[in-house]
Amino acid sequence: MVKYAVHVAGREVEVAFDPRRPGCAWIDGVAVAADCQQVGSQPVFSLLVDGRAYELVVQDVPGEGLRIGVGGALYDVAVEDERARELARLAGRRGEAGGETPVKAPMPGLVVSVAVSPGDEVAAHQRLLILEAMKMENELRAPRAGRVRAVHVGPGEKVEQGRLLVVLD
Amino acid sequence: MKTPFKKVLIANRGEIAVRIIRACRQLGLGTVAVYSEADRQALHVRLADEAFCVGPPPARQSYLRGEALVEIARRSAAEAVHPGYGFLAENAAFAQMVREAGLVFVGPAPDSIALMGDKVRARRAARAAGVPVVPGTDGEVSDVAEAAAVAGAIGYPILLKAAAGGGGKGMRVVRAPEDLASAFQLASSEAHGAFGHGGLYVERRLEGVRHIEFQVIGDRYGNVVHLGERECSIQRRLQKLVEEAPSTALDDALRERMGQAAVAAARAAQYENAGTVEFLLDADRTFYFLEMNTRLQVEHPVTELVTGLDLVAMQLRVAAGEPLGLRQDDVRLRGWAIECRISAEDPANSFLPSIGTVGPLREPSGPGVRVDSALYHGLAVSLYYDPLLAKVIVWAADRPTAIRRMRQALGEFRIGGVHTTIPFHLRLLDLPEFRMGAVDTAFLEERFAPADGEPRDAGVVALLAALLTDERRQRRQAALAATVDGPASSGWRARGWRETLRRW
Repeated sequence: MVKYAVHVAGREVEVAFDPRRPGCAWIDGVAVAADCQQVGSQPVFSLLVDGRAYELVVQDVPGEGLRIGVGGALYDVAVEDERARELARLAGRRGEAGGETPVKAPMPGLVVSVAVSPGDEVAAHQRLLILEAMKMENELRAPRAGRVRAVHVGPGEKVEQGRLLVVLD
Repeated sequence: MKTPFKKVLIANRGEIAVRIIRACRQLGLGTVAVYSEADRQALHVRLADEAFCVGPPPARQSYLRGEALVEIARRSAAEAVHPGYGFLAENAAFAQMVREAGLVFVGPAPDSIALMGDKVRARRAARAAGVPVVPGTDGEVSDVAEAAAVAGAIGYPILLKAAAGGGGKGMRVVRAPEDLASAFQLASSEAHGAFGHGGLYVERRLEGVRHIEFQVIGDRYGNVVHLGERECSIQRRLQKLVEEAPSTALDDALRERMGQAAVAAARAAQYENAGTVEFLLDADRTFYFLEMNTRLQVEHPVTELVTGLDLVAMQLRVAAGEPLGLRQDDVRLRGWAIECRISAEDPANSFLPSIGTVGPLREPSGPGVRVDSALYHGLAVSLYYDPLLAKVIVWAADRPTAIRRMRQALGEFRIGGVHTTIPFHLRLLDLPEFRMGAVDTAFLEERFAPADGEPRDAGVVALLAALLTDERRQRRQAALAATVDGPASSGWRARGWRETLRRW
């Protein structure tokens, strides 16, 4: 049996399957019948999960994980295997779900204002800062609830795409 | 088509450039595309007869360079210029420049553009034509003190608007006197940045109103007709997201009154070609002239589907000097049409622009489904231009069927690689308020909660991610084994993750 902890949409999903028994998988402990086929050589996958049909589009984001689209929505996904998790736990680090969450610039732009300071408790979806790009002011919000560990930028600062802005605990 | 022109330069990009190329083709006209360095591979470049580079990626250095566009028209022997929407579409100086170069501008006369582009003069013209306008100043206000005096007289909340503006830039809602000074300064500097003129005027902010606009079209012989209304109340930050025709708020009597007002406003501007007269409609069915857009609108397809007319073809015909050939009585509205704008924005994250490369793609189709799109697999979505990627437009005999058809169409749409507004639209279509047609311009920002809680498909996404990760790990191990022991020992895993996964 192999197990993976998958971080998707702000939560952790445990996926298990047995390589010798294709067609069976466990999602958060619930057994499902699953058939996964790649469509031609495209990064498109047809999944049948207990007979329910899904079509997923996969993109690799170097250094970040996978970006998977389904049903019109797009998810950024990170996968940890059981062993890596165990090692991380033994090393005294908390699991990713409860650990730190970096908030990076989704596009190049200008930091207009920063709404939080280190130590602040923030709720999910709370405004962290305003980033201006192409004359539009864009609100960056907290992907989850937590405490602000660090703020790496200030108002008036120009940032490149992918620049670390805020770290949540 | 007998025309004074045989070849049209399309001074635009994206889905609207593709739309205009299609209309030209159907009329037997040649097409010249222009592109910035960022758009070399764009669909409109590949679909046109000819294409020429107009400059570096930023719009100011490419699509907004009027003189360069006219020069390309001259070089390619194009005889007409279609501006599309956005960019130079409502720039009177550009229209003038095109005319002076001896080319046909597919749009209204420069004077009409200038009149309606000056929001203060437009209000005056509309009022003079007997069209009701929103209570407010008759001209620009010179400073905060004057704005405060006007606001005190008409009552809060008020709207500060850029006299030269449009598209929601240089606009601020002010709810209380103490907020006026800072809002005035912000709106003025934004207006100056966007339009080169910081002048503002004041209007009463009407609450609980719908945004209803009328399509009009006129020819040079003084014929002007309206083609019915579009309901555009689903807006965010004054940007439309969903449009439909007709509106649930209008009956035939009100449609006729508003339609006549729209035609009167167009006549006041001696309007030729296609344009849109925007109104606010309150719960008492009182309507107010808002402004006139002197161009083709993004949402023109919903009007096309309920009237059976091709607006872009009509624009080209009247620009060529043909009479409209259509009387008001000939215009019949049939069925219901809805448009959803699909933009590269993340609705789960404050509609943040999403940049990236579009992956595998499947556009919807089927009965009553139209897709106006600039999408292709490999399209690099940048921050240089508007995030609109495509428009899905459906038609059905009635509104409930049209809503179901839209659900079906959006459910088929697959766009890999970038976030899009599709999940937002799917949620909106299911809301009781939307289904009943009980919406106003504040609906989205005040009564529409962003999606929260568990995404439905997290489990299946996790499953695929785990399977892929496992295959890749096995492939890496196999490759490692192969380098250590030689290729012979790599076994079944060397077949690679693709085949293995397919088997799984």
